[in-house]
Amino acid sequence: MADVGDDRGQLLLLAAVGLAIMFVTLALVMNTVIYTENLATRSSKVAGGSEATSYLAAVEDGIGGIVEYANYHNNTTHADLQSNLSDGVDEWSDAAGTLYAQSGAGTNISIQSINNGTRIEQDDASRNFTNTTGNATDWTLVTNVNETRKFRINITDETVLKSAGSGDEFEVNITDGSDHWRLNITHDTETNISVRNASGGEVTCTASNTEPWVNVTAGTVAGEECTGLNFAQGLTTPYSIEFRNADNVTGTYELIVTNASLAKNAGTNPHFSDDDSSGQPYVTPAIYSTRIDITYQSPRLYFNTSVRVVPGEDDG
Amino acid sequence: MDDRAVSATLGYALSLTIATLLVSGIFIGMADYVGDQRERAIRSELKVIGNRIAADVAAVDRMVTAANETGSATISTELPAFVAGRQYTINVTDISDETNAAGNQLYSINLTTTDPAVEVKVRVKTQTTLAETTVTGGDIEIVYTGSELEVRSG
Repeated sequence: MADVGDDRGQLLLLAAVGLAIMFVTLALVMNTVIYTENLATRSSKVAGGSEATSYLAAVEDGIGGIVEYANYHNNTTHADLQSNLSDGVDEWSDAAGTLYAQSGAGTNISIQSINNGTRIEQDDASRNFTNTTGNATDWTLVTNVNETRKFRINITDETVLKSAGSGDEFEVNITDGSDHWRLNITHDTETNISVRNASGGEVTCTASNTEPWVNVTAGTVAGEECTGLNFAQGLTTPYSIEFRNADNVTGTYELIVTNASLAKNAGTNPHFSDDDSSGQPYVTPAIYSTRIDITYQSPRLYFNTSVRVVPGEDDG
Repeated sequence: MDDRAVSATLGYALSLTIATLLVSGIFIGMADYVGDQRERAIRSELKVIGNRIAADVAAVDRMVTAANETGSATISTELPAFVAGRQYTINVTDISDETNAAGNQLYSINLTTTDPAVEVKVRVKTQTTLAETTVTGGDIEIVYTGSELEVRSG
């Protein structure tokens, strides 16, 4: 083999070149994995899905607060309320938009629709629940109601309450024409709230303090949950709300209903007072609910939906 | 004197053959090795991509559920168009029958390449219905069409 001379190791050379090419191919293949492995380290929250959901919740809270504020300030007519709400929503949208723009998201809200209603209220805590003249102990507050929210009663004097079964205990009677839902407030040794719904089921809750708040629409008595207290359970809409034996209870109450035609005019509403500050029961225009159109946009995400803002319907 | 019964030609041919066998053995081994590595790379990449898609699908599902299934939602996801130099396809199938998850639906996102044939499956559970679609790998969009979620080419 020695006389072959300098031509040595041809095949070895070929093998080495072949191996080199294979290693380079391997390197190219592995290179592509680098990008994907880097992708794997990025959080999937980059899209912003959770921010969009929290924005939704923020809108419900924020606009709920605006609706409540509007219902108690500059609320002479429904037109005033709508214009105040519209201004408030625009300002909220701008302020929130600036805040979210700092984290790279574009947001906007606008009012889709407003559901007008009426607020019925009595502020004088030493008064009974009769109508403004004091003549009617059994009277109808409002008819043709589809929804009620923020119905709260505060009992300030338990000595006026009658005992259960006496026949003249105070009662909130809600009827749709054929069925009734009743809430009685009585006092034996403690103040008791009894509820009888349309299908005959009955529940009694006891108040833990002497001047309890009964939140009828939220289902709580003196701050504690009263299971079975479901407002107008089993009734069909529309329904009417009446008080019976309204002279056997003392305190304040308030409710907001969807019937917007309860005008603030003693001529058409003999049961209510014209003067809001007299302490006697009065009615005033209110916003029941509003539907807000929401848009949230970030570089990778677009989210558009509408949400119904009804403060106080199912909460405290 | 040491070259008795030895043929130079035979010696030459033998060396050649043995060297060729060794070299081709190395080549075949390396080719297998590279092929193996490529398949592992593809599998790992598809897994990452699949989980990314699943995460974004779940994000859209959460937004739609929070909005009580009204309105519209879209997430755009940037994905590499090739894995290890190969194209891949993304396929969504409904495998809810295999589980008894109440109210939730189970879907399988299948990512496949043809040469080498690799398939990776990633499961995702959603509360909104997900349409069974097939798209080519690359940038995609996950859209809520008003009634169901859909994975589309973006």
